[in-house]
Amino acid sequence: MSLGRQQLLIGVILLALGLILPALLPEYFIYLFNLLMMYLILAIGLDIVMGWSGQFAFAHIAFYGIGIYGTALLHMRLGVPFIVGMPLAALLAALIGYLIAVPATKLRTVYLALSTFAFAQCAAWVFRTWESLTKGPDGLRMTPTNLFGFEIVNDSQAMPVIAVILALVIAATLNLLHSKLGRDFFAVRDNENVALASGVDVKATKVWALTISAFYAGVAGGVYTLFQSYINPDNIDVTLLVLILSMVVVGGSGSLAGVSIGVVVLGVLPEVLRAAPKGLLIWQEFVYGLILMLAIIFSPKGIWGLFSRAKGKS
Amino acid sequence: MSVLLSLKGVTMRFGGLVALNGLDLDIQAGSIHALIGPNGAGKSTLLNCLSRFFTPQEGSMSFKGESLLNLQAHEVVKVGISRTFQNIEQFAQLSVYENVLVGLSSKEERYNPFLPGRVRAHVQAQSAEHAQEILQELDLWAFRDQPAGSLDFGRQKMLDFARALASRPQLLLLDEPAAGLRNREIEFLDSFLRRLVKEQGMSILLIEHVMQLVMAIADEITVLNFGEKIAHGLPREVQSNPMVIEAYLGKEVEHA
Repeated sequence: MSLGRQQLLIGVILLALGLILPALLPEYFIYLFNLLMMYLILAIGLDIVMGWSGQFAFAHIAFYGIGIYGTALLHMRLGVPFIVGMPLAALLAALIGYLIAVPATKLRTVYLALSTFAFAQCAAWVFRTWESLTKGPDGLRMTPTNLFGFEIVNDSQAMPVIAVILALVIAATLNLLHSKLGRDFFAVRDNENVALASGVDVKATKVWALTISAFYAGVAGGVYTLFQSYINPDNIDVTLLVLILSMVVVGGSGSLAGVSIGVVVLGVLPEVLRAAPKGLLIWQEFVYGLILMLAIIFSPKGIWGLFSRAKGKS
Repeated sequence: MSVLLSLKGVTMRFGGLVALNGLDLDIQAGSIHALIGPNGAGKSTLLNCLSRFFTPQEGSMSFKGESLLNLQAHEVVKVGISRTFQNIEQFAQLSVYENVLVGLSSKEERYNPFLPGRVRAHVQAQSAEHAQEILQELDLWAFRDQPAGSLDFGRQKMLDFARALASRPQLLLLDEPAAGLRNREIEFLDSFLRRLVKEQGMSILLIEHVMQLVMAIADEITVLNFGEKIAHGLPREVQSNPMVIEAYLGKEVEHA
C-alpha cells in the first residue's frame, strides 16, 4: 500500500471511530479514548527524539505544559479560537524547544537527560508561580473551546476533533519516517561518526529532532484543552514523563505501531486493574510495576519487538 | 596527471604525542595511493584529519585547490571525498538498503519532509535505482532488508564500502578494507578497486596492512613511521627500501 493510501486509510478509520463511538459507548469510555489519543501524540513526539534519534532529552513535559497553557490562555485572554491558538501554542513550544536544543545537543547521554530535565523542572516552577497568568497552584479553570462557532462541552463532542488531529499527526509522522530527515534521525542514533562521514549534519539533525518533538508535545497540550476543563500544574510533572516514557519503551521505541501498543496497554491497564475485586485494589500499583518490569526484561525491544521477531521466524 | 589532493606540513598533536609531523603528501587524480606503516604510525589520524574529524594544528590540506580546513565533517562528502572505517561501523539497526540510502542522501535535494509530493517521489526513485546498482555490484542485494548489524563480517565491510561509494566520490579514503577478509574477498577487492579507478576515474587513498593487495594495485606508496614520512615511491622501490624494512621488522632483520 502506498504511503498516501495508508495515511488516508488511517485518517478515515480514526474519523469514523471518532464519529461513531460517542453514540455507542458511555461517556467515561469516550474520555478514556480521548486521553489515549492525547497520550499517543505525546508518546510519538517523545519517540522521535528518543527512539528515532537516540537523544535522551527529557524536557517533553515542559513543552506539553506550554501547549496546554498557551492554547488555553490565548483562548481565554485574547479570544483566539482553537484552530489558530493550538498551532500557535505548538509553534511556541517548538521555538522554545529549538532554543533549548541549540545548547543542549552539545551534551550527550546522561548529561543531556539531566540538563533537559532541569529545564522541565524550571518550566514546572514557572507554571506554578506565575500566578497572574496561570493562577498558580490553584490551577486554571478553562472556558469551553470554541470550534467554528460550536462549543465543545463534553468528551463526545471533543472526540471527532481529537481523532482528526491524531490522524494528521500520524500522517505527518509517516511522511517524516520516509523522508531524508527521518532517515538521518536513525543514522545519528546508530552511529554519529558514520553519519558525519555520509554527509549528515549531525548537530542540525539533533536540533531538528528536539524541535519537532517539542511541537508534537505542544499539539498534545492543545488537545488537552479540548476535553479537560481544568489545568492542575501539579499534573504536568515527572510522573507523566515516566508514564509516557514507559509507554514508548514497553510498546517498542522507534516504531509507530510499537508506541501505539504501549499507549493502549499502559493506558488501559490501570482501568482494568481498578475494576478488579476490592480486596485486590491495593495490588494495583504493584501489578502495574510488575508488568512494566517483565515487559522490559523479556522484551527489551518492546511488545512490538516480540511481534516482529515472531513474524521474522515464521 | 594532475594533483587531486595536496597536503603540506600537516602536524597533528594529541597532548605530548605527535601523531603526524609535518607530513607532505600528494595524490594524483585517477590513481591508487597506498599509505602503509606499522601500527601507531599515524595513518588513521591522517584519514581522520582529511575527513575533518580532527583539525591539524599546522599545515594545509587542499582538494581540487580548495582548503579542506574550511569544511565541517559533514561537508567533506559534498566536495567529493568519501571514506570507510577501520572497525565495523554502520547504522546497525537500519536495513542494508537504508544504510546505502544514507550514504547517497548528501546528493538528494532538500524537500519538506512533512509534505507528500512528486518531487519527493522523483528523488526517491532516483535514489532507489542508484542504491540498487551499488548493492548488486557488491553482492548485497539479497540482504537488502536485513538489519546491517546482522550481516557477517565480510559483508559488513562490503556494506561500509557500498555506503561510501553511494555518494559517487572523486576521492575514496579506505581504512584497512582488506583486514580480516578471506582470500577470495581480497581478490574481489583487488579487481573492484582497479575497476573504480579505470571506469569511473576515481582516486583512492588506501591504508592497508595486507601487502599482497597493496603491492598489486598501488600506483604509489607512502610509508609512515611515528608520524613521519620515511619513504615514498613506486611499490618496488618501497619494497626494497632498507628504512621501510627496518620500520616493519625492526632489528630482527639483521639476525634473520
